[in-house]
This record gives sequence, C-alpha cells and structure tokens, in this order.
Amino acid sequence: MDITFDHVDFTYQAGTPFAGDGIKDVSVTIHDGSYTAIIGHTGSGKSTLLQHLNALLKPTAGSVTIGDFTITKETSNKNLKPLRQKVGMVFQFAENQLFEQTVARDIAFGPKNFGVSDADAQDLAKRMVKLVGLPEDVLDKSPFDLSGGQMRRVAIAGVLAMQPEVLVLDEPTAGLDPAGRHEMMAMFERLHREQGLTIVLVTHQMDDVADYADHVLVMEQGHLIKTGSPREIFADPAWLQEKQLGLPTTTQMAQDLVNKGFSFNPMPLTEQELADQLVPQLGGASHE
Amino acid sequence: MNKLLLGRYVPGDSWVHHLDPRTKLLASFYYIGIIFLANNWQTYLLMFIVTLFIIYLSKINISFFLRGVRPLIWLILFTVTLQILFSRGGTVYFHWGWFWLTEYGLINGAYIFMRFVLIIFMSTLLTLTTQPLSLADAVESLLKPLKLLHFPVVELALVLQIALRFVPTLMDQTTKIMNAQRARGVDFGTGNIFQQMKAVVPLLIPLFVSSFTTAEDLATAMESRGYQGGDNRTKFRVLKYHNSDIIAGVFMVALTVALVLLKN
Repeated sequence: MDITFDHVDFTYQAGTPFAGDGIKDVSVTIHDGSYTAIIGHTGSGKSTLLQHLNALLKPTAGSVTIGDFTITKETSNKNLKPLRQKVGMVFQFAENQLFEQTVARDIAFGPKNFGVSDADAQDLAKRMVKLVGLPEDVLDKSPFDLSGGQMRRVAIAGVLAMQPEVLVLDEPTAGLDPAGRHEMMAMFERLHREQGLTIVLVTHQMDDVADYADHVLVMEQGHLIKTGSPREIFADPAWLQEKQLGLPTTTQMAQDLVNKGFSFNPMPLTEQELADQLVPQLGGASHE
Repeated sequence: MNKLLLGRYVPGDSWVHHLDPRTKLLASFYYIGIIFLANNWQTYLLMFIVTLFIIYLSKINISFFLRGVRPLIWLILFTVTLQILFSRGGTVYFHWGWFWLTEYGLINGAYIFMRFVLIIFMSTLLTLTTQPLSLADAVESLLKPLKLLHFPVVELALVLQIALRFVPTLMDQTTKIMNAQRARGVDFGTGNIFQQMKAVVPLLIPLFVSSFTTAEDLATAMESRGYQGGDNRTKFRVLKYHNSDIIAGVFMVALTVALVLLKN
C-alpha cells in the first residue's frame, strides 16, 4: 500500500490569528514494504507529517493518497475507520494511551473497535504480548501496575494487534534503556522482514536510521529538504551539521579516522562495514 | 479546542499591556459594574467610545474581540429575543398571545445586546493583554487582606498558578491521547449519547492517570527544591504601581462621574 503526498500543505489553526506552521509543499511517496526514516530538527514538522499518514490531520492544500483512499481538505471524518486499521500508529510515549482494567483488554481494544470478535481479540492479545517480549502472566494485570518500559510494550502490542499494513512509529524508543531500545528496534525489523510490514519511523537516533532504514526523509522548518538512501544522506557530514543533524556513531568514527589519514569508500554506516574496510588498511600499515 | 480564544494572551507592547495586573483586574470588574449605570443612548454611546478607545490603546486588532463575541452570540441572541418578546410598555407594534413586540421591549433588547458586547470586549481585553501568571499574582495580592481571617491566600494563589500553567499542557495531552485513541479506532462525537459517553472513557482515564503522575512528579520536584509551604517566601515577580495605573484609576472615576451625569 503506497502512501503518496502530493504538494501537501498543513497549517495549524488555519484562519485564526494564532495560525502556526505545520508542513509546506511536501511531495513524496512512501513505497509499499519500505522502511522509511524521517529525521529533522525538533519542530521541523515530522510529527505533523506522520499524522497525515492515517488522516488524523487533513491537508489544508494538496492531497494524500493512502492505498485506495485520497485525503484532501474536503474529506469527511466518516468512513476513515478502514484506513485507520491499515495504518497503525505508535505515538510518542505511547504508554499514555492505556486505560483498560487489564492488559489483555487494552490490547484487544483496537481490534474490537474494528469489528474483531471478542474471542479472536483475546487470542490476538495473547500472541501480541509474546511478540513484544512480555510474559503471558501480565495479561491479567492492570496496565498501571507495570513499569514504564512494560507499559510502552503493551501500548505497542495494542497497535500491532490491529494487524496494520503500515506501522508508523514516532520515537518509539525515547526514554527506554539501551537493552529495551535494542529489543524494540529488532522486533520492528523482524516484522518488517518477515511480514513485509511497511515501517515509517521518526527518530533522532541516527544509529537506528543507519542500521534499519532503507529510505530517509529529511525535514526542516516544514519543508522536505532531502530524500534518499541512508548512504546518500550520510555521505555529506558538513551538510548534516549545517542542518543540526548528527551522524551515526560508526560514520562519525570513520569521519574522525579520515581526518587522521584513513580513507573509506563508501562511508561505512554499520559497525560491520567499518570493520570490513578498516582491517585491510590496518593490515597494510603493519606490513611496512 | 484550539479555537478557544478566552483566556489567551497576545504578547504586545502597549500602554495597556504595561499596566499593573491588579489595576487591570480591578478596572475590568469596576467597568463591568458601572456598565449597569448606563440606561440611555448617550451613556451607551459613551461606554462604546471609551471601550473602543481602550482597545485602540492596546494596539490589538479589533477582529480578536469580535471573535470573542462569536461563541456567545447564540446565548446573547436568546436573551435579547426573550427580552423583546416578553417586555411590555410604550407603543405596541404586534401582539399575539403571550408574545408582545413593543417599543420598550425593542429598546431594552438593544441595551442588553450592547451590555453583553461591552462586557465581553472588556473581559477579552483583560485576558488578551495580561499573562495568566500575572493575573494569578494580582489575585494573590488583592486577596491578601483575607489572611487576617485565616484564609489560605498563598496556597490558593499557588494552586491557581499551577492550574493556569498546566492548562495548555493538559490541552496538548488531551489532543495527543485523542489522536492515539482515534488511531485505535475510537470515533469521538459520533453515534447516540451512550456511544459518545462510552467513547470518552479511553480519553478520560489516561488523562486522569497522567494528571496524577504529573502531580506526584511536580510535588517531588518542588520539595527537592526546598519548597516547604507558602509562608515567608520572597517573590521574584514583584508587582508595582506606576503613574499609568493612577491615570487609569482617575480615568475610571471620571467615567463614573460622566455616566452618573448623563444617565436618566
């Protein structure tokens, strides 16, 4: 299910004295089955862009095509439910959306809203809780008795239970410990690879972008200023610095090594690539 | 929800903006009080000229004020209509059962309409030109005499300040949770009344829970920064009267005198 933005503008509180900028003239296609990362400085319009992906916001100009749906300014809020099921959204600090008496009921809430029977929804809850790496005995607990990290997992399980075709993640690992972060990102990667889930990820972690994404969108002040593969985006450190964005740790290290006389082609994105290119250069040096 | 204008502050640099918040608060209440002195065309004309002059001084676009009237327009029209239909006296233009259309009724309706508009303009002006926090400071300062009666003025001011500070935060939180639940298939504002009430539960519970968490975190943070209760604290924002505040006071007295002289 491709998602296409066609000259999309969005202005907050349009037509009031408090009108604020959202996004301006964004045209891009997010392809079916891709893993797209959106990066940009805080307040650059990333989250605004995300909310167009399932019509929580509607463009003030232009149109968004999501599968069979075309969303424009005039689109009514009715009949958007099938769309919302296809595009699952994990918001920032998703643990704030939990409300049911038990974890099982909270996870089953989404599917039941989309017409899944109670028994099937409970079954889904059982599967999803395992998928996000929680023991099955949390199902009967109150979500508010869990730790922050566990609550985040339950919230994510609640979104996955809707069995979306596109998974939109707004900084899903913010505030998690390193192990939790790694596990979460690995799980999304697995879903992407095994089930062909399209993933759209907003993040400030350039390492995650380099490790997982196959397509990167760079936002600045509401404009989409660059798109390309992570390799293309990270090839120009000076440009990224100017846009107040960082490099992945590995690329940063490679860059520091270049300044000391090493050379890399292409610039390595992952530890493996760095090691592969570094070994011959070090080996060459030791023979002299 | 974002369309709410009431209680919004528009930063500016004008004579009205720089008045002491206590002056503005007292003057607004006083002004609303003396509106009831007006009872003929001359007095209402005077009030309108004065109000528009103050709005001009505040350098804020008049459209803001008209926008302030808009959400209340149905209430105003309802009241005015009742007033017109049920007042009697003077020339009768039309009469049907309980309903009368008379000269006095029309005049009273027009007066009430103007009264509403003036009150809304003035209270909008107060909130548009005064930061909520300075308003809370003003309330604290003005209520100080109540301390003699053991009324917890400082605590009330603290609660008021914290509440005002968290209004926008809570609004943001509400929007976020609403969006998250809509993405999970909740339809807000559709269906019959029971379905609509049921749809609010996934919004209300997370809001309450996050308020509890925020309250706990805030209390801990305050204690760790040495907050031990309101007594014997010094103030960072000290309120001070200036010459312009005296001018504003004199102006209000002059306006009262003029109204008393002009009214019937």
